[in-house]
Formats: sequence, C-alpha cells, structure tokens
Amino acid sequence: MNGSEKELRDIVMDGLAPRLRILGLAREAVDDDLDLFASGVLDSLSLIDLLMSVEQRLGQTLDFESLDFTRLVTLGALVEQLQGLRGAGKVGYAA
Amino acid sequence: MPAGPESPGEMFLRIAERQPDRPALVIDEQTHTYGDLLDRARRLAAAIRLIDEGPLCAVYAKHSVWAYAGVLGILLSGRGYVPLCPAFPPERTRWMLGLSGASAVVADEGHVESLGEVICGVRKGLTVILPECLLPPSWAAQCPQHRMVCAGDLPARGAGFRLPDVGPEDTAYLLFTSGSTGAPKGVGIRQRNLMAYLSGIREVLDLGPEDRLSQNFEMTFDLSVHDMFVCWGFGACLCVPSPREAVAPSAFIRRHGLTCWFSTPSTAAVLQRLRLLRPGVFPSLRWSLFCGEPLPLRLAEAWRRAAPLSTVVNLYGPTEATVACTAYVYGGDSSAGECVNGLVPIGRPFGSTRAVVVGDRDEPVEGVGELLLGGEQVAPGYWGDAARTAQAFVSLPGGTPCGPWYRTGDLVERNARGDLVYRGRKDHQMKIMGHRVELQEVENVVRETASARQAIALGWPPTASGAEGVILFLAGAQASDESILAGCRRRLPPYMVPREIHRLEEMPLNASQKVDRRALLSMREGLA
Repeated sequence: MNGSEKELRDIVMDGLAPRLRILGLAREAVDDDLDLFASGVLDSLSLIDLLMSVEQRLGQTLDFESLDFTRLVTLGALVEQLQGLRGAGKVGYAA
Repeated sequence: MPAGPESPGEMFLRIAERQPDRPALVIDEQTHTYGDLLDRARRLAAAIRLIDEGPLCAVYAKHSVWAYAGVLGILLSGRGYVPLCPAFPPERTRWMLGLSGASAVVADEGHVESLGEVICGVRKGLTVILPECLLPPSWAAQCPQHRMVCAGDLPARGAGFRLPDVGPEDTAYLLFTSGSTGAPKGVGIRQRNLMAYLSGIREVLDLGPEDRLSQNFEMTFDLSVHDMFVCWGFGACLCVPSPREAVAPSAFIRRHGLTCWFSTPSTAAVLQRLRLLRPGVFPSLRWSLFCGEPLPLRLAEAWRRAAPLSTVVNLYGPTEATVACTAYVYGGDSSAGECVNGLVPIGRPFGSTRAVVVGDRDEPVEGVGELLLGGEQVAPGYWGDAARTAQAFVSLPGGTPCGPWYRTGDLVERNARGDLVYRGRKDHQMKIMGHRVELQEVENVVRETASARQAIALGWPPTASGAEGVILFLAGAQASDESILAGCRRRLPPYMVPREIHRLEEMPLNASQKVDRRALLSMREGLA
C-alpha cells in the first residue's frame, strides 16, 4: 500500500469509527476483506454519509458517477474504488 | 368482451397465458419470462393446495426469483400472502408469523438457514416449502414438528392447474406497520381492495408490455405491491436492482433502459446528494413516481430535469388504504406556486377513494385538519385487533355510501386549486427514509429492555421528508448502551434501531409538564 492509499484508508477508518464504537468492534478487527454490510458496520445511508465525509476530508470533488456500487462491499474494495476516483479528479487536493 | 379479472392471481394468469415469452422479471441480470414465472408459481400453488388448508401463506425470501414466484404461487393457490423479511430480527418475524396464523412458509434457498432461527422454537407445526432445496436443511432434524417440502416434492409441471375460486373479501396480503404500543399492527388487504387500487391507478398511469419498471421496495412495504402488480397488470417487465446497487441506482436505470421509476423521495435524495441527478441523465424514463413520504419541491425539480421526458407524479396513501390513493402530477414552474412549505402537494383522490378533511369533532373544515379516507381501497381494519380497528376505522355523521373511513393521522389542507397539501402528523409517527415509524414503539422496547425511567426516541438528522434515523434520549437508565442496542436489534427492524444514545439526569419539560421533544432536538443540534 503506498502512502496516499494508506492516508485514504485512515480517512475511511475515521469515518467508520463511530459505527465501530457502537458495535463494540476494535479498529484493528477491521481488515480489507470485512463485509461492511453483512457485519452491520455500514448500511446504505451510512455509506453515503461516509462517501461525503471522505470527500470533505480530501478537499476534492469526487465523481461518484464512476463508483460501482455493486462492488462496494468490503473495506478493501471501498478504498480501492475511492482511490480510483481520487486519481481521476482534475483538481489537486488540499491538506 | 370477457369480464375483467377479479383477483391479482387471475390477472397474472391471464396475461402470462397470453404472452408467455415476454419478459416479466429481471433479477441478478437474468431475465425470466411470464411463462417461466407462471410455471414456478403454478407448481408452488399446486403444492400449497395439497398440503395446507389455511387462508394465508407466508413467504420468507428476498431478492430471488422464488421470492416473486412465491408471492404469485400463494395467490394462485387462492390464498393471501404474508411477506416476511429475512433482515428483520427473528423475534419480530416470529411474532408476525404467529399473529398471521399462517401454517405454511415458502422460503428461497438463500434464507433457509436464517428461517431455521425463526421457526425452530415455534411449537405449532408448520409446512416449509423449499422449492430450490433438494434436501431438507440440517436444522430440520431438531424440529420434527415442522414438515419440509423440497424441490422433488413439488409437482414437475403445473399441469391440470385450475385457479381456485377467490372471493372479493378474501385476504390478498397481510402486512405489518409500526404500532405505538410496542408491537407492529397487521393490515390485511382484501382481494377487492387491491383490485380497486389496480383499477384506480390506471386513471393516473398508462403503461404497456414494452415498459420496464423499477422494483425498489421491500416486499414488507406495500409499495412493492404496486411494483409487482401494476407492472404485471400491464404485461410489462419488472427490473430488480441488487441490494448494493439499490443504494444509488442511477447506473441501473440506464443499463436496463427503465421507462417507469418508483421510489421514496429518500432514494432520489441520495442520488441528489451524490450529484448523480444531472440534467438529462435519465432519457429513457417516461414516468417517475414517488410515494412513502413528503416530496420536497427541490427534489422533484431536480428529478424532472434529470428525466426530462418523464411525467413526475407524487403519490400518497397509507397501507390501510391500499398502496396509494391520491396523486399529483408535478409540472415544473406551474407547480412551484402550489407547493406549501417546500413540499409538493399530494393532489387528489383517484379511483373509488373519497377524502374529507375534518376537525377535532370530525366536522369538515376549510383549513388544516385530519385527512380521512373512504372507498373501496380501505382495509377492513387491523388484524385481530378490534380495539385499534374501532379507533382508526370510523363512520362519519351523516353516513356515507362507501363503508368505514380510515383516520390517517395526517394533517392536510387544500390549496387554492383544491389539491391536498401535507402539513404534518397528529402524533409521533415519523418517516425514517420512507419507512413508517411510531417513535413510541422504539420507546416501549427500550423501556422494557433497559428498565429506563424515561426513554424518548426522536428522528435525527432531519431531512426534508422526515429523518434519516432514530436517536434515543434516556433518563434514569442503568443498562449499558450495548445491551440496550442488543435489545432493540432483537425486536426492531434495522431502520428503527437507535443510531445514538444520549443520557440525561432529567428530561426537559414543556409548559404542560410533558417531555419537551423540541428541547431535546435543539440539544442534539448543539452537539453537531
């Protein structure tokens, strides 16, 4: 994992933190293969909240049109797809 | 000309026999024809008739061709269906199954294991029909009271199938809505109620066999009845997005060339939030219907621009009056002036429905009042609950030709054009992402599981149509957050489980010494 992907993964994990807390799950218990929906970490609404918060943290407008929602199941897939959107962006990102 | 069909089962049978090769259902990117669905449904119907006597049969399935064939098979067997959602807690599902009195359950392969959790502890012997399973599940050995009917036990073909007589007063489906006392209320819709809806909605909507319709609603939500039976009544094709894609189904609309869209405003609002409602993105849509919660003007306008060739219709109706009973066609600029509080009007009754707006003594009023609905779509009452039926299904002074009136609890008024406009609720019912939620039901479950002195549930964060979720305020509760939430998850569907818990020494009170819910909301606002 390169630096920018690691940064993105941390941002995603920060977004998941409140849900993990309420489920009593340790941050370390979440690996790339965890099914975020089956485990109850995310539902459809909190996924949208998460996407918006990641966008805000990155300070970059993401083109969600290119997200493949059928594949957004695991943490790994989520980070990978968001990283793809980030690369596709035309504007540089702040902080 | 032959008489029209008298039941939804007969309606499907006639159309499927007329056009067996046309597509009826697209699910998991696979197309099933009318002939295919009819064949599955007939085999199930034949099996159900052989083994079960009862008037109702449950279907425990989700997102599979057998979920749809199950509904159709039960109707073709002359029975009413009781949809059970595998995502609901087993305890809640068990309660619904028990109240329905159904003694047979059709389940799809994907949910056989979780069905075991629901019914293993049920003492009453049930017949479990598993059309995809070659062998009984392993849990069947632990519950010999239940009888398993597997794929090999079904008749190979629905040969010699004859539709049994179905009476207009027979139940077509039994659904459950949130109830303020802590247990859901059953609403049994009769065959004639549903046929009245299917005939009435044709005053609003015109489709044909070439059309492709969305299927966004869970089967436990009565708007799915519209999805299935309006679609199949026109001989059209029903397209089901995968659960993941249903979150933001814009690519789905385009990939399947949908011509008719139906969802809650909440689903559309998600697309808007993700900036997926760009002008002209849905050129295939001819119809866009919204129902289940108030439709914000800004959302209706964004959708109209995204689907410029489609007619946008706002539908309104409680489960007790069969799917929907008023409609308003949103016409862009000309409509904006008719909106009140930024919400699109709910319009006027269609079909046999009559609407009156009444004050505290049930006298007709000119301004804001409670909406009462009468007509052929009104259900006979709550399932096995005479007391609550008597409260909500009433006769009006002066008498009416159309039976009982249903008290919606919705406050409305008429605008200058005579269209009904939604103005709020009389009670603490809320729409959580389109789901109807009695906040008191959440509070009761919490009070019981947490032995809390006071528990107040509120919708948060607010949306233009209701709220995204439920949050909880507690005073004098000993139990931990985890155990309270575990108790809620055991008894409530996921959308009713609190997303936050806030503990207070004392609840704020208003001038009439009741808990001040507004103060609690401002408190939560302060935390943001």
